[in-house]
Order: sequence, then structure tokens, then C-alpha cells
Amino acid sequence: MNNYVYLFWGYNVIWALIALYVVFLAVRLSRVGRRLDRLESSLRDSDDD
Amino acid sequence: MTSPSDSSSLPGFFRASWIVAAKDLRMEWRTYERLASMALFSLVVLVIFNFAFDLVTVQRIGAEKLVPGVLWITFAFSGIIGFTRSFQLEHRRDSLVALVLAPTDRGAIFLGKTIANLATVWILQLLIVPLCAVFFNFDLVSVAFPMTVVVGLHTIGLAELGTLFAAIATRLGRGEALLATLLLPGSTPLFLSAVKCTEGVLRHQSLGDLSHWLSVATGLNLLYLLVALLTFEYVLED
Amino acid sequence: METSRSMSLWVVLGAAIALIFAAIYMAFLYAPTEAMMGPVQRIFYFHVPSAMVAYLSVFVLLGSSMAYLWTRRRGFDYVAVAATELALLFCTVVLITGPIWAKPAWGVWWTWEARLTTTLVLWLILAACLMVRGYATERDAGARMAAVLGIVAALDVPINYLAVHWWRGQHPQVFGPGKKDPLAPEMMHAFLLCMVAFFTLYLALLFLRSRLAAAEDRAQSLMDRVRDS
Repeated sequence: MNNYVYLFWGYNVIWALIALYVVFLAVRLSRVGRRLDRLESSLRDSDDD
Repeated sequence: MTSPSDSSSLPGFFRASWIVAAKDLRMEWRTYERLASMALFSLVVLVIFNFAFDLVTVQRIGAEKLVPGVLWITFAFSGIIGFTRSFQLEHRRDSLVALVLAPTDRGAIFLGKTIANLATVWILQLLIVPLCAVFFNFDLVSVAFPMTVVVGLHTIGLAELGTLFAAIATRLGRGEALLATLLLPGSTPLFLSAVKCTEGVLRHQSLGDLSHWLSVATGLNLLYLLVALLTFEYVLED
Repeated sequence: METSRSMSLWVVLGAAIALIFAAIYMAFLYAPTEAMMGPVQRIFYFHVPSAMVAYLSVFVLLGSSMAYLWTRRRGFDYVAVAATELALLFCTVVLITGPIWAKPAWGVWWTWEARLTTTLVLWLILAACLMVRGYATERDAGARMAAVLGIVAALDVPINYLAVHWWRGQHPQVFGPGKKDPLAPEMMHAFLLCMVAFFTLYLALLFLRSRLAAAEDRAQSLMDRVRDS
């Protein structure tokens, strides 16, 4: 029975770490996406001026 | 940037290395500043180790088990102090720029600095190893030659990696802390071999018995040298 | 161009997710329970592929670092950052699942045996690589230093395997010369699928992280342009 506890936590650790990393990537990707949109539009505006 | 005759001729390369090494050693000879701080630090570390392990433990475990670790940790940390200093002085005075602009292979600068660092640590070891023999009560005289070979050989690799990483740390404006973080994990295989060999020597094994690990150490020394010579110019460039 | 790159990324990501579900099924339901170690042995199906992926990533780091130093093309640096982070991630997985397996199997959480030790050392060097990037004030200097360190970190990997051989550590040698049928066929199928799943996942994450690095770099240069205009 104890054996299953280790197995359970082992798998949890693996997927928790990978999931956290994917979330970290997703957050940063959306943040930089918004930043890029903002910068590109402000550059377009200053080019238009 | 590099004059064709200097960069392609081998004597030019070694001459340049020797000039850099001689400059550093001459500076050291004048003030002893680096060697003094390394020596004092090593002494402090040795004393702390004696507090860390009480007399009963030392007697029970025995010198051959304890001394290798103590010695190499001492060399590692005092080496870190020395290697950092080897670049910091020039970094502070901006003479590193002058060194970088010199019409010579950057690898020659690395070799020169490494030779100077190596010589400094070797001199330090001449002091520390006998002192360790006194503190930990082991017979150094009977194992003097194999000990010299083992310690001297492994220090070469330590100096090579130490010089490379010290250059990186100095270029990033950092000092001993970053160098320690880089050097200690990076030189682990060398440390494994060093401790194994030192323990073997203290157990009165011959150099022949240790030939496997000695060839590992030699291989590592060559590998580190090759990597450092190839990558040093990228570290130094502006 | 953009859409076709996005398409291939989504394809790889989708494949990775599908393969992972398959891998979990194989590891838990398809593969039989191991006779000696019991259920906890199933960690092996993910522990070993994680280690393989970590080492693969270190070699990707080696290649991209050398390519960056040689060509100075930013693209290689983006891959190098991604490879460093992913190697660190999978090394972390290995270092945590290893002890979780070791405790029921060998009775101790940690032994300073060669393979575990050198994986820990690799983790330290990779962490230092990321730290060095953070310390640099100029982007190119940080990339260069990290590339040099990446090359050193990669050299640690083969030395790791040699160290195991010479120190004769207690790491379970499942695959090796002279070992016939180390795994039952169903176990082998499960293991191979898990390897494929992890490699695909790695590829997907590598693409994603490189894209992120490229996007952040582009945002930085745009910001410089905005500031200048």
C-alpha cells in the first residue's frame, strides 16, 4: 500500500513541474504578445505622424 | 586586428603566453598580496576543519579518509580567491581592455594567466600540505613524491577551469561568489579524481596503482585546456 | 510563413498531449507490475525518459551554443535559452522522482552514487548558466558567456556515464552489455512509448520556448526603436 503513495507522489511531481512550466510559458507568451501589439501600433502611429 | 605573423606562428603564441605569465608573476613577486591572502585564508580553513571534526572523530576515521577532502576543499576555495584576483586588478584599472586589444591570440592570454595562477597555487600548496600533515598527523615524508605528483597534476585542471570561469565572472562584474558557483560544480570530475588519488597516496599506494585515475586527470586537464583555448576569445571580447 | 510555423507547433503540441495520455495508459494499465519492486517501479517509465530528455537537451544546448559563438545568429541563442531551461526542468524531474523511487527500492532517499551525483552537478551548472544570463547587462555578453558555460555543461554529460562505470554505483543497470531481456515485452513497449511521448513533449516545449525568446527579443528591439523615435 505504501508503495502506491510513492508512485502517486512521483507522478504528481512530474506533471506538476511540467504543467507549471507550460503555464509559465503561456503567461509570458501572452504578455509579450500584448507588448508586441502595443509597440507595433505605437510605432505605426509615430510613422503616420 | 591580429598581425598574421603573430597569430599563426607557434613560437609567437607561447612567447605571448610567457609574457602575460611573467607580468602577473612579477606583480605578485613585488607585493605578495594575492599569495598572502590565499595563504591566510587556507590557514583559516584548515583550522576551521579541525574544529569541525573533533579529535575522536579524526582518530576514528583516520587521516587517509579525512585529509583528501580537507585539502581539496581548501585548495578550491583559496584558489577561487586567487583566480578572481588575477582578473580583478586589471578589470579595475581597465587594463583588461589593453590586454584584449594586444595583437595576440586570446588563447595566449588564457595560457599566460593560467600559468601564473597555477604557479601561485603550487607555491601555496607547498605551504599548506605540510601544515596539513602537522594538523592531521600523517606522515608526509614517506609519500612526498606521489603526493607531489597527484596534487600538482590535479591543480593544473583546477587552474585551467578557474582562469576561464574567473574571466567570465569578472566580465560580468561579479567576483568570488559567481566563480565558486561556476567552478565547484564544473570541476567535479576533477575533484573526484583528486580525492581518490590523494586517498590512495595516503594509503601508501604507488602511482602505478593510481594510474587509472591519473590518466583520467590528465585527460580532463587536456580537455579543459582545449575548451578554454577555443572559447576564451568569446569571453574576453567586448 | 508565420501560420505554417504555428501549424507545425500545434501539430507537435497535439501529438505530444495525445502521446502523453497513451504513455500514462501504458505505464499504469498496460505494463505488468514488476515482481521485485512492486507498483513504485512504474516511476521508471517516466524517470528514465526524463533523464534522456534532460541529456538530449544538454546536447542541443551544446550544438546551439557552438553555433551561436560561431555565427552570432540570434536564432541559435533562442534555442540555447530554451534548451537550458528545459534541461533544468527535466533534471529537476529526475532529481525529485529518483529519490521517490529510491526510498522504497533501496531504503534511502539519497545516495551519493555517481549518476545521481553528476545529475545534481549538471543541475547546478545549468542553474549557473541561467544566472549568468541574468547577470549580464548587455544581451550579447550574457549570450556569449552562457554559450561558453553551456559547452562546459554538455561536457559534463558523457563524464557522468563514465563516472558511473568507474565508480560502479548502485544505480539499477537495466540496459547494459550481457543483460538479456532486462524488461518483459509489455514493459518494453510501455517504456518505448513513454520515450517517444517525452521526446515529442520536449520538441513542443523547445519550439514554444524558442518562440518566446524570439518574441521577447523582438519586443525589446521595438521598444528601443520607440524610445529612439
